[in-house]
Amino acid sequence: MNGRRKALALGVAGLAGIVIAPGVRLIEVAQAASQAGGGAGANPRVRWGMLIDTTRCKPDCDACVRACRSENGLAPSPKPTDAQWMRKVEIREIRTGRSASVPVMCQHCAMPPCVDVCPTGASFKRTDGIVLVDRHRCIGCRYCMMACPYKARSFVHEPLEGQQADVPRGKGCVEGCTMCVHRLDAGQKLTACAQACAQAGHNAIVFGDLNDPHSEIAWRVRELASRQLRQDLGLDTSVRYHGI
Amino acid sequence: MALLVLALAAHATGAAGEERTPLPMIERAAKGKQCVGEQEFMRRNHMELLKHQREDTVRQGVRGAAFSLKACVECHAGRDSGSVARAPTDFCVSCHSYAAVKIDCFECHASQPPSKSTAFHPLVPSAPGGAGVIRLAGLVRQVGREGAAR
Repeated sequence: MNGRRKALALGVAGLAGIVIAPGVRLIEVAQAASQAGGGAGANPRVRWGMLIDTTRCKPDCDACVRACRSENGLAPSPKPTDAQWMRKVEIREIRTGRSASVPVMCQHCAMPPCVDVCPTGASFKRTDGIVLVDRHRCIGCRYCMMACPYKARSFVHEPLEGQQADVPRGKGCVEGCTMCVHRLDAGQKLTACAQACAQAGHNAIVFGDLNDPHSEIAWRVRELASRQLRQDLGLDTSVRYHGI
Repeated sequence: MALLVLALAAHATGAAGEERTPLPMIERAAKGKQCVGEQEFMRRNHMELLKHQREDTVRQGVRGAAFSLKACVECHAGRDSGSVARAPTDFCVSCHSYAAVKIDCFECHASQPPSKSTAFHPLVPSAPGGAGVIRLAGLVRQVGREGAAR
């Protein structure tokens, strides 16, 4: 019995050695590849985020929403059943009557409930914190739409035409704000909404890397009191709001 | 006269008899001289290459690699239709209807190369190749400066 056990233990140890050695090598290869890639691919050291200053956001302005639609090929004036990636929401404090107008889109949670519930793995979080739908895997079940506390996702009900080359979208899939991932991957530094807001002269949307201590968003988040929507849910969103 | 008609008819049936189904019309790429792979290899394996790259692009954000669908469309869009999948003679459709393989790529993906109005954000003038990206970066800088001036 003892001899057998020893042989078994040796065998297991040997096996472990074989398994670990190529595993280590694989990790090294992967790390080397990601370093060599540089601009190619999502950078795990980055966490893209937004700070929305509701004291600067004007209730009658929807430049960000319009820019989002034209950038991503969404209908310029959507029907009730059309996809909306970004909305202007009016919020009012009942007791004081103070109201604010805030753009609400996918909050790109660090712990996204849409990813938890997705049965096919289509809903996923990139290493740089952007939450996306992989339409190649999406079966259109809409669990993620139910799980999202921000109602940030839309379903495409009808066949589409004239999509943007960089933003494929089609019938039968769920979609939402991508933080203009095609722009970021191309090395640009602004989303369409942030750019439009700056052009409209409001500068209410600051976009950038939350992990970079020298980025504008990092110091604004340090200086300004900001909060996450439904902070009580503990989802740790990448989009923060000031003045609500 | 009758002989001539007969001879012509025989010639016509002979030509049609070689191939019962018409062969796909493969239009030469409008842009570029050399495909990203050898012709025979691409005909056999383009689907695997595209499938591999779509994972890299969507899930890891790797863009601008060799085998991207967008790059295929850029070169192979038909001269008349401006698309790879609109007319029956367009690049993708002509082969796929011959092989009876349904493609659903273009239910979501643009089958036309980005035109001037849709290439990038409408504020940005686009140029063939990567020039649009460079110009856009310049514009963003410019916009940033304007924003700072305000």
